[in-house]
Amino acid sequence: MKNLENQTKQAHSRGRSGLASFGLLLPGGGMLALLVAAPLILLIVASFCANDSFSGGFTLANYQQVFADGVFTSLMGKSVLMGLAVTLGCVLLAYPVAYGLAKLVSERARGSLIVLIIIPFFTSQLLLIYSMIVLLQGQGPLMSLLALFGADPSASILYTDAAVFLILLYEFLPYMVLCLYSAIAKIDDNQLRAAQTLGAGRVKRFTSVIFPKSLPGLLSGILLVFVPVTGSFVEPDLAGGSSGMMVGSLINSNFAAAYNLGRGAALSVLFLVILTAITLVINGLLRWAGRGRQRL
Amino acid sequence: MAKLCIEGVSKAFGEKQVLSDINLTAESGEFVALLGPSGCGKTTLLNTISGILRSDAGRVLVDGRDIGGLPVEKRNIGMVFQNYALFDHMSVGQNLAYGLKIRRESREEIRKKVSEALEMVRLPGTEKRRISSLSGGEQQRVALARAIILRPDILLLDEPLSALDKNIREQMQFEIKRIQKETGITTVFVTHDQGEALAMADKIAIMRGGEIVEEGKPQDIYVRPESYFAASFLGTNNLIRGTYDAAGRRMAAGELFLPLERRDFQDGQEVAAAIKEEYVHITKPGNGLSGVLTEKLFLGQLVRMKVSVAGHELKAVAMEKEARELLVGETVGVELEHIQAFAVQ
Repeated sequence: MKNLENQTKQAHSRGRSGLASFGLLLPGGGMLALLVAAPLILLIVASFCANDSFSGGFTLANYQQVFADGVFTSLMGKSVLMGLAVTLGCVLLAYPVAYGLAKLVSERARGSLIVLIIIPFFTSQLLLIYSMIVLLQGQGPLMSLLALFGADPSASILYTDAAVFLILLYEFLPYMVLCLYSAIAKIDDNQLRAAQTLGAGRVKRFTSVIFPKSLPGLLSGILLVFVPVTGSFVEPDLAGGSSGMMVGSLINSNFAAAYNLGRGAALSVLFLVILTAITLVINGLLRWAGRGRQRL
Repeated sequence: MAKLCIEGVSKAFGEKQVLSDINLTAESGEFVALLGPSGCGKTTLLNTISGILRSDAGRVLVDGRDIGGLPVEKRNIGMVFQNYALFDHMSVGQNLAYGLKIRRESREEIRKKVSEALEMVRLPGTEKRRISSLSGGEQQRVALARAIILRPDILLLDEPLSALDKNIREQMQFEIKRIQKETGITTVFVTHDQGEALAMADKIAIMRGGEIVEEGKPQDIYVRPESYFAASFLGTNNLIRGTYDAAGRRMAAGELFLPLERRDFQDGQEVAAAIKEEYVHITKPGNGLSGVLTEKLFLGQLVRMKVSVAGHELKAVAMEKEARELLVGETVGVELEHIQAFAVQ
């Protein structure tokens, strides 16, 4: 009898805790459902609708139009290349910075250096872009400096893809640094020393310990940089010149200028699918590389 | 198999002198323990041997060859860290194979050596296990195997047993000692646990404040220490201060008079004596000095006691069956041996 009572008591408390955890999940889960899942579903539905009021019935016309003129394919290709280039640039620049920050500088210096890295986050994105434009423009500080070495001060890389690349690199580098920093800071110094006593030089220590152990940070850094860079449209519009357009600009113009909701939605869905696929491939490749280094 | 010589090694961190003019030799195949309280510089000394730290002055010689200028990875020195520092993103086998792969040994050779090394630390067939699935003692064995698999000239152990439970720790003392003898690798072992040092080492160097105070065989350094610090640091001691009485060849500490073996003191010189608790024998009244038993603590195999003698309270330890008859409050006889006396600076 007593046993039975205990069991029912347990069942009751389990029921209560189930209710409690549901209650606790509600704010977060509800927010995700409302702000992520619902808009995404709407977007997908809209991309298959014949007109903007969701009443025209199912159609593939939006997707057919997108592929008809080939603009999307070429812009998407260009954007992905830009995304990959900026991400790679960020990784190459951020690894030494993050390593130095995590392992080489003193505790006291680290705090202020991290603040310096975070400062750009306090500024509006537009301001960051304009400050870079001012820096890069003809007769600007950079060109005036280069003029001392015989360059033409009125020439500039502004309004080229190179300028867009530099601005994006500047904007997104902090994300990569912070992601890698937090991953590298967790690596035990003694593991690096152990690798060293076992004969590992700098390169081997990086490939066998630092790289595989910072992989989670690297992957989240790549996600935080690659996706927004590929979809960026403000930077190419402002600094890319007449031929600087990227796929983000195309999507933006469909929503904001042409008011073609269906085509904009179709473009967005395609963009999302392609980016997800590429990210998954990068993820897989890196994990494979991290493991491959350690095979017996 | 290599001889290790440390000559005049000094190291300072900023203003703080951590090592000053250290000289130490470990003969080929010898097991040397660096023993001292925390902050005495023993780990710093270990790190200057491994190359993790560069010394400010002095030389580190392996078989007469100065390795001071070499980076860590070129020194051929094995190290076991306090937290083991195993690569937890690799399997046991991958951890052991790590250094062999860097030396570009063949797959066959690597497989054979890894299996032999695991055999030696009594973990055969665990190549595929993940590090996180091992117990503390097993991780310790893997760390040891990883360090010796490369047959280093010198093996350095940095408090390798401090993270283990008491029982496993005692078992690992035997294991490490056995493996060290089997491989014959010259070993330097850092510890703050004197029991560990006494049990395992061929030679103990006692450190304090960045200096080696005394070195010698465990038995010698324990029974016949040459410095007051070593005498008072090793074992549980009764520390007594007094003055030397040249006529009576004894030291006077209030009402207590202790006969001394050492006689190179001046009359009236201030003297500090250390008597280990096991050399305070409590017997029937009438033998030796007269005292009163004030405390008795039953520890199972042993009994720990306190006895009041001429105004001094002395600690004593005896086998349980020897002390069974003694009662607290009774008058007892107290006999003292191995009184180590030193001049007070």
